[in-house]
Amino acid sequence: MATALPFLANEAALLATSETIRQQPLAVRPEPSLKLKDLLEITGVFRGRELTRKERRLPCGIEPLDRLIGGGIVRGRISEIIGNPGAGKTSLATAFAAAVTARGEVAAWLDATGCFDPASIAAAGVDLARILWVATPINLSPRRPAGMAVLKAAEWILTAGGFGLLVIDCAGVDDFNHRAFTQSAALRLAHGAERSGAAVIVIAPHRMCGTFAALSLMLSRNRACFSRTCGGAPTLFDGLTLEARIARNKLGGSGGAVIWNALVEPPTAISSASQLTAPPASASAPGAGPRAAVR
Amino acid sequence: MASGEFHGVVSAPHHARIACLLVADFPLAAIIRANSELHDRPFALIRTARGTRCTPHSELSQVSAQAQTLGVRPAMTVAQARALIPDLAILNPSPAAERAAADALIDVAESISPIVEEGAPGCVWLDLTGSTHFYRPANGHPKDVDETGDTHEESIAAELVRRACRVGLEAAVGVAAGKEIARLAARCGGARVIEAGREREFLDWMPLDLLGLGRNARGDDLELVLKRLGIRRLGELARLDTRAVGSRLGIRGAELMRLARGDDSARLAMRSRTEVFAESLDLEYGIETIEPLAFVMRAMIAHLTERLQMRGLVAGDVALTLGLADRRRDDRRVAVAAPTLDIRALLTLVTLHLEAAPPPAPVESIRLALGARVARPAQADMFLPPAPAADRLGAAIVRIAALCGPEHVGRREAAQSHRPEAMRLHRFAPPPPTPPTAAWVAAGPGRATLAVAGAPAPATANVARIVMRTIRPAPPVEVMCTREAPEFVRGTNVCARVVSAAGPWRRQGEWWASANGDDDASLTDAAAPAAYARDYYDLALADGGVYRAYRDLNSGQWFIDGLYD
Repeated sequence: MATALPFLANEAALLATSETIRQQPLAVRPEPSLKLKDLLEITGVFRGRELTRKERRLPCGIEPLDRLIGGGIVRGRISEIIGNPGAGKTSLATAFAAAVTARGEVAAWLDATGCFDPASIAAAGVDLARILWVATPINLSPRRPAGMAVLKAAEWILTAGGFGLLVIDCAGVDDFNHRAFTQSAALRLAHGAERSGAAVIVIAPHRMCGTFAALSLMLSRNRACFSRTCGGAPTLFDGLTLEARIARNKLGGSGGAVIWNALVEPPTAISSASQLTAPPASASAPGAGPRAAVR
Repeated sequence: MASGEFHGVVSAPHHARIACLLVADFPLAAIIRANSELHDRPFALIRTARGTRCTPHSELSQVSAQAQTLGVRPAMTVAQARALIPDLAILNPSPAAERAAADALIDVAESISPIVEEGAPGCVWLDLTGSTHFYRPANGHPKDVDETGDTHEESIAAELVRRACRVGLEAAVGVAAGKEIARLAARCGGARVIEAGREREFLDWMPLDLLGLGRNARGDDLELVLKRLGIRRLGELARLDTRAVGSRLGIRGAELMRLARGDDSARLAMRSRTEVFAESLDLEYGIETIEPLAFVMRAMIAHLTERLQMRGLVAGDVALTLGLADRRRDDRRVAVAAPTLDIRALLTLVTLHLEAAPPPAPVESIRLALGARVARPAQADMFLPPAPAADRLGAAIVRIAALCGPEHVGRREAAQSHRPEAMRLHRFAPPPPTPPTAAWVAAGPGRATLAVAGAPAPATANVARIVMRTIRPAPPVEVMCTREAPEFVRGTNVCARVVSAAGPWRRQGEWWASANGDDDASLTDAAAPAAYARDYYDLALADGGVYRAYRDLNSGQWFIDGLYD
């Protein structure tokens, strides 16, 4: 093995910091500009070793938020995105899914609420061909409540392996509205995530996994942005300004918060909510919001 | 498999190696295979037509080994047998179970060799000529002996016995230069290999009663005639003059002489066979409930998956045919989301299907067929992102489909329609992972921007695209308007003042579908009419949510379509 892959001979170098690695000449580099650590992270060569490492993270692409949570959510752990309806939970989970599919990985979306909107999710940059959609019907038999179906499906997906991300969307399901997962269920989910190395995101109105969640991000809506180009022109909905606050972080500090924007049509260069005055010039993608004004 | 009779392809007789896979007492073995609880229980088959009742005077045709141990013999009446064993199970022969067992036996043979001939029930020949090349270990021993000391033919014979056991049959295997010698070797039990050139040595001690000689053209019992002549073994027969035996015993006698001298030149006649992976079972009594039916079908599915696995295949859709007590037939087809060999998942799918529409009458016979699919080979790449293994992904999808329903798992996509709720579900088959590009990694620890070929334009620093949570079916709400501008929304889960509103934007279409009556029902909600004309609004309510609502122009009714989240 070491003969075939000379760069694996020196494991100490691989476990060193990225700065150290950057200084060392590499024996095998498929693409010169790729860092070895990144390459190994992509391919999961050191999957077993990297599972518990804080550096193995999945960023969402929203820079301040990624910085707040230390570079992204941790793979092999459960991260919760909690908040009221309309707080931007789905948009944030979609950003993570877009990042995963852009890397060529496969993700799964467990839709316990039936709220999955493929048009707007595809418009957010998610490659739907790499998303396994599973809807757990709410009206299962009494022997099989929705919560059990969600957990079983999640376990099977994690057991299958190879998934980069599993999103469990249980916001708005009556089964989950007033109570969290049981301790044993959350523990099983955490073990499944750790074994498979997949990042698990739970979208819920409140904290569901208790101590077994590595990160709990609480989202809230600051304001909704509406605008019109000139007097008499139709009003347009531009998006939401949202706040993300760390409610719990086992791998870093808690309490930090950032403001970010979720827009119907993200412009190419908008950095703050104060610039959200001009409406988007082009029509939106199908499903992201109707834009053919008739009045 | 080639059609028609097979000629000339099998190697010359002096090089041929033929194996015979033999199941003794085949009708009994087929019954035991279908009803595993009979394995340790004494039972017997009777000589009656199917459907006729068993009477005390019915004659036993075949008797299981346990019953024979206790003194029951074929040709006894049921009353005589029950006098010896009061709880003796009396069964009718099951042609369906025998056919399924015969197919399973052929599958075992075909998993080793492509040239297979089906003989009498429970007997299959397969050509092993040259097969030692395939089974030769990497450090091939010059004498074709593996590390356990067995020759390769012995290893193959032992493997055949193991595979037959996997499909529920206790078989014996004989390997020799000819069909009949191989069959005689198999009749000795276990796995027996007769080396080339040592056939006479094996045949010389072979008792004549093992051969099942039958009668010649004149109706004489050959075994009896030979015994009267003092000939009890084949070796004694081989020493006689061929012409003399031929003149006294006819053609059958001459054939016997040739066999006794090791001249077995019969060739394999391969016949065309439709490759169907099906198991059938005739039940003694009608089954009315799903649970015992599932218990019976579990064993059938287990045998079928074993057969498929031996052939390197996986199971696709399930075809289930139930013979009902009222002489009707109930045909069903159960779709399997992804090919799999997971018995539990397949059984759950079939059970769910039966629970959804139970059979209208008690079930008296079951035929279960699995569609054969080729397993997708997959090779992982060290320098590509990890992806789910095809078989494990398929098993997971099938299990989830069994739990949630096949219509709730797959690749969900928006349909080519302006109707927002139009969606389609496809089978989930992710494209292969793409190799990482240098542009994937941006400078900085957060790796905030992703620049991948074909991906949408990167988001700016703190901006993401908003996503909608749809509400299906759209709940009707009451909207109070002032000068056609929404002012207050009241519904089941929503009741708030409108803070800001954008719209309306009109969407209408599919009027042609309703006119022609050829609308695509799969694209739309069942409750929604085919043609639609709606004015859409984005409403920020005082409860903190921004909703997408629409007013149906045909009915004037307002609906909440989704929530920006």
